[in-house]
Amino acid sequence: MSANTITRRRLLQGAALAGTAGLLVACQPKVVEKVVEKVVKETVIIEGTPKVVEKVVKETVVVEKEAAAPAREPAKVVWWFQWNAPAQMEAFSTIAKNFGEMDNGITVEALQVPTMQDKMLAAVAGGNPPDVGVCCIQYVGFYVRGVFTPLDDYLDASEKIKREDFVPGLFESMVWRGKTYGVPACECGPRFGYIFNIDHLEEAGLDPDNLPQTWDETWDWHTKLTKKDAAGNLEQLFLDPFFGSTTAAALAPNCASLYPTSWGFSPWDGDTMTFNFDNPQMVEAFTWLKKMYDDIGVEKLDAFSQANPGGRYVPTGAMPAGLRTAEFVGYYAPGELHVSAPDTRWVAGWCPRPESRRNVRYQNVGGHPIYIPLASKVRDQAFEFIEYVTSEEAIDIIFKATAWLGGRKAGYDANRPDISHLPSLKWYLESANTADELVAGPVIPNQAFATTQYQRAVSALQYGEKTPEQAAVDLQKEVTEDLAKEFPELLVE
Amino acid sequence: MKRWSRQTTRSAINGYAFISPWLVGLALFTIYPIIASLYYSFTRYDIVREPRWIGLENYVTLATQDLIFRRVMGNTIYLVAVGVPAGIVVAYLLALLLNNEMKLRPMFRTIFFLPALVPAVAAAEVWRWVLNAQWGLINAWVKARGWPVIPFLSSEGWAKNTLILIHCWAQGQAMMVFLASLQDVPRSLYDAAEVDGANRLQRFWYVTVPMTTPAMLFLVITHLIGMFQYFTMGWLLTSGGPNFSTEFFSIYLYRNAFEYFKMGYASALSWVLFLIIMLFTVVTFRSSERWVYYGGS
Repeated sequence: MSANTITRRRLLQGAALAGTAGLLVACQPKVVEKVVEKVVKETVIIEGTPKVVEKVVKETVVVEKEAAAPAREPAKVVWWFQWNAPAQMEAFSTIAKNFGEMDNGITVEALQVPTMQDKMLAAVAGGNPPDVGVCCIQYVGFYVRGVFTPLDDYLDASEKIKREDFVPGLFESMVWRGKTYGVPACECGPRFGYIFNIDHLEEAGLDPDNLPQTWDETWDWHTKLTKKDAAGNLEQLFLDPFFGSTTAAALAPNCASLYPTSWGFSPWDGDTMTFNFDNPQMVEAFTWLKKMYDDIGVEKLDAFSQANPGGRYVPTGAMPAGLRTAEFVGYYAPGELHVSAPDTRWVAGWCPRPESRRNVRYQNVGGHPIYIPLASKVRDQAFEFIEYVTSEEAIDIIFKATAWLGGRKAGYDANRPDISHLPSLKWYLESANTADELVAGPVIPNQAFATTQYQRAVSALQYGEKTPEQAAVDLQKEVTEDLAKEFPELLVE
Repeated sequence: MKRWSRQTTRSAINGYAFISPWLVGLALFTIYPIIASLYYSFTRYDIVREPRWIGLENYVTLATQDLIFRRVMGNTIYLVAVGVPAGIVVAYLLALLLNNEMKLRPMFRTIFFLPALVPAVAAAEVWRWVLNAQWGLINAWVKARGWPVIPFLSSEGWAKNTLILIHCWAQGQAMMVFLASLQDVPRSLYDAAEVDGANRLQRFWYVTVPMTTPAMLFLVITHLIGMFQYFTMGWLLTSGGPNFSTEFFSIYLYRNAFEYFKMGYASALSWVLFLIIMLFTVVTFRSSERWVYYGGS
């Protein structure tokens, strides 16, 4: 074989050598000359006394060149959300797109996921959850089970998210045992409002500027505004005080419970891990609810409610259709009603209190957390995305599409020009700043079970199966027993 | 001892190789979950954390402490006791009707079969509007006469029966089974009965009914299983309400598994459901010796 020819073995050996050499060279620290300032000490004699002084001299030294930060691997963040109205989905797509265009090496795959509780549970159990999720799961159930990433270190290091920029109570509802599992995002805002159809009030000779402040006054308005036909069918309903309001029937971290708050107690004590339903205030609230439902007629009410489904955001819903006068509802109602019943005038005010607390105006600013499942492999990038989703820019995109607020205080300016078409929203924004009591939603480990039992208790009242006293006692017993059974470790601690 | 020839062995191997994808699927997605659910039923398991062995506690709770479960059982038993016979009777009557010579018979058969083809969600939405207390077809008519509306889905008394009514409406498949069975009854039996002086009713009772009892047995068992597992229409139309009067077994099971994170308890529920279904099935099979007639046996 000619000495000039290169065999395949030689070629491979050469390539290996060249590769190794290249690798070594690449790994060598690069050296450059750099002028640095150096502090030197020298002895000088000042006025006959030797003294040590420090002086700065310039010196050229050879230093290792600082290696540039390695280029970050492109990453994809998978983002799940449940909201599915076209305007909502468009807003979320825009947010994902905008973030993807920031040239930060991160792309976001935004995915609308129906029945997210089921899907998230299965995904977490299967070790393949999304990197970021927002909305519509039993948040506390996941916090308690340690499947979400504690975000405290991220939050402490973040320049973009400062806890103090958010409305009080929001972050508190995302904390379990000292660890923060979510950042208020996408749909946050005052949950307690009492919104009325002004036309109904005027027809009944009631003053929209003097809304009922107490439960007794609410009862009076009910007697004036609920109308039935000769057969007892409801033609116009003033208020469905519990089941017609997610705010009233809730017992969730993103929405405090109306009746306990109104009566001035919390249904859950996170320090002692105990429920607090069996008390005179709860009985008083149950008694009032029973009086209302007995007067309306439970079957008539169910028939009426089922006849007008669709909530506030479709014209056939009871409120937009002008069949129901009032509702306990969150800040989102003005925007939704503006869309579904653009010609109807609405006014909002404080939710009622018992006479003994007439002057105590209460509010809860609740919201949905955005969170990172622990199994995500791109948690840093996921948090960067969260920083954007909770930024004022993203909040503004969502607000323009849906009239939903975010969690930042900056958005709660009652004089912001973009809400001039929603006068009742102005009240909600003011209320967050002027409430006497601003409560946080309860962080209850067995939240879903407790909520169902709470609603079951009211249902039993409606159907005359229990007295208010019995309902309160049974509720306390059921939720306490379930907690002890499901989370014995919490009670031991 | 019987020895397999090489050819037989090779055929067997080939056979198993061909069905192995299905066998793997069966093992992974059916047999394993069944066994796993039995194990989980003896644990406290929330899907996310490791299961904790608690022995029979879930079953004891079900039997002695869970007051909701008693209500759920009551609702489900009512649904089965009324819904199964009602569905079968409706299907049988329809089949008898459509087994007669009549004009446009194929069209009627198609029309009565169609509900079985309608997806449950679509059917639920249509029924929701038909039964709507204010605007629905029936109640609009009722209201126009100044009568109280019928709370089809919004009263404890009505809701279960309304769901049973909707179940009866969707009996197209059962009707087809009965139709096939009716057409299998030998003409000669009717002729013989007629010769013996049997009238129309007697021919029906002594010929038609016995000859269609095998189909009836099949439908009773499948309906029993289906009604014990009733979920979709109930979930879509009433979600367990009003006042939990339509909280059926499967709905309660689902709530425990996916809303309350109680997969262990839900597993116990599913095994209890399995045992109940098995019990009813065995009893039905055993009793079939007395009322099912197989032609030629």
